[in-house]
Amino acid sequence: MSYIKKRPFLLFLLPGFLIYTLFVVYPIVAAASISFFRWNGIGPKTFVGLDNYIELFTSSELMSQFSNALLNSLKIFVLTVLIVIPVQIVSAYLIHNEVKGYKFFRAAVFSPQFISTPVVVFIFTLLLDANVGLFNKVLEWVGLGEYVRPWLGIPEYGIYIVWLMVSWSGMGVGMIFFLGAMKMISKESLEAGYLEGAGFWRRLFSIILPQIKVTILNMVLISYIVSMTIFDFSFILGGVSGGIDHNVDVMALMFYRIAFGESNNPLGGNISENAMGLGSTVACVLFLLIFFISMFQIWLTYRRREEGA
Amino acid sequence: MLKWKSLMAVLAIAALFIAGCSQNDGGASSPSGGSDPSAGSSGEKVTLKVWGDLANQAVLEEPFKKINEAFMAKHPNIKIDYDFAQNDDSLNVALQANSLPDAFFVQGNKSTKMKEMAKAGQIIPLDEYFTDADKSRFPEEAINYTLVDGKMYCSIPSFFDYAMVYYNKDIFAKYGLNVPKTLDEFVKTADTLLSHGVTPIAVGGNGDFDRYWPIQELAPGFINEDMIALYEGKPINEARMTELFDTYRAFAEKGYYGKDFIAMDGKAAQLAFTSGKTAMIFDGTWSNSIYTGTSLNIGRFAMPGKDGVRYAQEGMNNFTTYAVAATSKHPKEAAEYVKFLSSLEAAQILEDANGHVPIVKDIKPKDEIVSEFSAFDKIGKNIYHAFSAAATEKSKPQDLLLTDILPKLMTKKITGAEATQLLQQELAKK
Amino acid sequence: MNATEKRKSASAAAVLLWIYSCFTVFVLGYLLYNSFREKGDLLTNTLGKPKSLSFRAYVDLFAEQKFHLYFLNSLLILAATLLIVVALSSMVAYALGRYKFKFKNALQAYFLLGLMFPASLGVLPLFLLMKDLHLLNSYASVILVLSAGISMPVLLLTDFFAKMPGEIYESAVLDGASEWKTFYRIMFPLASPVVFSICIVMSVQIWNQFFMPLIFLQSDEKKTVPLIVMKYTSNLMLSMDKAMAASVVATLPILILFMIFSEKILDGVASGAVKG
Repeated sequence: MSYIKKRPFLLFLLPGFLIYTLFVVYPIVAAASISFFRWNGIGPKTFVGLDNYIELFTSSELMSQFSNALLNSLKIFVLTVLIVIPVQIVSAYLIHNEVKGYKFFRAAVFSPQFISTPVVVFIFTLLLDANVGLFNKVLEWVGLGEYVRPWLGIPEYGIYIVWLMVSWSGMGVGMIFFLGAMKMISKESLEAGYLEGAGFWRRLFSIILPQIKVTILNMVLISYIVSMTIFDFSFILGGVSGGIDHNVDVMALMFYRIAFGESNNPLGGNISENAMGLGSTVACVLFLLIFFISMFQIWLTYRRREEGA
Repeated sequence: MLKWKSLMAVLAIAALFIAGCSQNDGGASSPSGGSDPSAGSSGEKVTLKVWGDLANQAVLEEPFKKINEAFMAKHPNIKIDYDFAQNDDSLNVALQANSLPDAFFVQGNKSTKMKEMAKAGQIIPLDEYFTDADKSRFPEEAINYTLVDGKMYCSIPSFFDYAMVYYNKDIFAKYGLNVPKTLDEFVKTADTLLSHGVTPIAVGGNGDFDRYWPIQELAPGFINEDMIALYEGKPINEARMTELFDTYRAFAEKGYYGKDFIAMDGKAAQLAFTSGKTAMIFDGTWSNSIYTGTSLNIGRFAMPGKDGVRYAQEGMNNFTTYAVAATSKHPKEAAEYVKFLSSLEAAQILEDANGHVPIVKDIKPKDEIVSEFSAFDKIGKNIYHAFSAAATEKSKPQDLLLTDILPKLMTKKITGAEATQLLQQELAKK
Repeated sequence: MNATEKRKSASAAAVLLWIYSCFTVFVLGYLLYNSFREKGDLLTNTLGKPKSLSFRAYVDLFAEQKFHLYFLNSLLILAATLLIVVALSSMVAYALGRYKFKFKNALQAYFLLGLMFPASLGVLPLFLLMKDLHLLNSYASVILVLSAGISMPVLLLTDFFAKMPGEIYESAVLDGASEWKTFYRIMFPLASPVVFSICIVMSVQIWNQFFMPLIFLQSDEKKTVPLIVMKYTSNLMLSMDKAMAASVVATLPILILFMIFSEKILDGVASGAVKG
């Protein structure tokens, strides 16, 4: 008993650890083990060792899809970090300062998060459709009719449209977290800033930002993970293959396509002989990609904190 | 804040309590294998767990309620516990966990899934439950749809779906156009519309399947024999295949689809048609309710071939094709239910609700629209299924068609002859 | 605090925020407006004036579809899951944040794994597990599975518990409080802004979950709200009026929860505790 008394953290850890291990980690391990088999999901499994991995990395077709999807996912990540996160921070700061109308902003910015993704895509269709989209109509009204385009379908813009939908829908999440983080900053450091005569923006940069640094880095980490696992918007917009030339294909969609895609179309389709096996393999490779980059980001975060503290 | 937290705690405890209680509900919600094991098949009460198609729940809810009631009226000792719980994910989980309901819907020979399930022994053959009288109502294609290795594994479909042309009657009337009876007339109609500045046809160039409907409709008129050859593993006639691909490309090249069709997906194409921007659209019988809901004056016709033969394409409707799980504790009763779905009574209920295209003569069509759908001369082969039939693990002509050949033809990157060469190379990969 | 200065400098950024917010509200208003239109009208006459507006889609939702039943199911699952997630994740984060021990960094990485793997692959072992526990088709199965999703809360809370000043902790120990009391009465309440932020985000995620309820809840009376919305969004062109009405009704409860929680965030932390 005194072993535990000396280590009270064990009691705090135990319930969460148990449930998490049982319902999250155990399924991951069990599912990952399928990547060592050849299996179509229905019949018998055959053990093939690392063959699936070799197949994935030596198939030029698969590799080109893989790198394209990876590039698209990274585009979403970079755009989010460069644009969305700063916007979230500034919005949170404005609300934190209780600028006029802050309650309205808070609800308005967050509300798209509640709407289910097919409806978000439908809303964007209503706005950006070539024929019935509101945006094109507005362009015509203001005399810019020659810029009318089928916005949703242009291959080069595809991934940016996906990013727009992801950002619009998820803007509130980061903002709420930053808001909570700002609320935890002690009033004294803020008051010290006022006393020194620091202006609105200086207060943000010199006082608030350093103190929510870890939250920012955590949000960057979460954005990375989300960009690698986001699936719905690309699927609805581009179908299982990710649009023309796979222009909206992202990592999670590629996984889905290999594991479940071929037999999931309106005309039937044949199940691939190794759907589950290869699908698990892609999921594991995806997992490792996410895992190692995340570990790297975390190492950066904590190393900085130890130095800065 | 403490009071609020206690409220949450009370709610959570109540939730877990109710959750615990709900599993003691008894037979109806019992999870594994479904039915109540204590009742025998000697006429005592039996409950069957049946899964329906979640993706189509919106159109199937009402008719199936009636179908289930009709069945239960005929079989007072059987209770049907019907849930729209099935999509690919939940079915996969049930298959792998050996947790299938008594009966569930399958896609027949449209895909290889039913074959795999039969081979793995997860569904049972149903031949002993269907008498010859039951089967005689159906054409051969319908019965073939249910066969794996010569045995029936699902109920026989009563309807089929195919792709054709919906047209805006008002636009046609405005330019004095009639329903084309041959391929040449169709081309003339489209040219006339073009010359008046009207976009003839709406096609979604962006989606794999949306850009595919034109070729599904054109194919029987050009290569029906070759598609049959593909089913039998015989070689195709390159000249005919090239002509088909060239025609497909020509439609796009001539501007029949409008300015920005490459960027439109299926939904955008449908919106373009319903808002009156195009005169026609290539779409299927399954989309009919979208068009009947508008206030437009809409007509339908099947695509004619060069010889004026109007072709529908094969494509059985899965709303009534159900299989019986091997783990069912009441296979006889489940098979009775599945058999009922093939009956005239059940089919008529579905027909009255949704207006499907029947393949059995004794079903009364819901309205004239169904008669319009039934106004075709022959049922041709379905090019996607034909290509799939020729596929192996290494060679996937159907994927090649969708993701490679069709987009390249549409964007004028290859000619019909080059497309045929690509196809031959893929077929040779066996 | 210089009030005029605050207003002036903030105005540029605030204007942009105004524009963005108004745009969002306009878009949502457009959705709401369209949910009152007949389906055929939407298809043929998208940008024009509607012939009539009707509540039909909404009436159907409640009368025929018994939306309120699904609503209660969702609410039940949400309340239970939220409570368990908050309890578990704050305890784990507290341990990881405030104590030093050998495998701490490894554990932190361990708790992140949950975010990195697609749920659809891991569902089969879970299903078999629930089958063995005889929990299939029960609320408990969904609640347990969703409650295990503590990765993100743990990540975000750990740092906050770590940064809390040691003086509070020491003064509590001096006062004779046990570890648990210190956590429960002092440290956890201090983290309440972040905890409420997490509540909001997790609420939305839990409320919009459809995959787990689909797999584990098979009978119709247990289904959750997203499954009803999905019924109509599966074939959007066919049933867009119902899909939009369902979306609107589905988001209202979350909106209300959001209002409650955001007020709590702004209530914030009394800095008096820190000074003491």
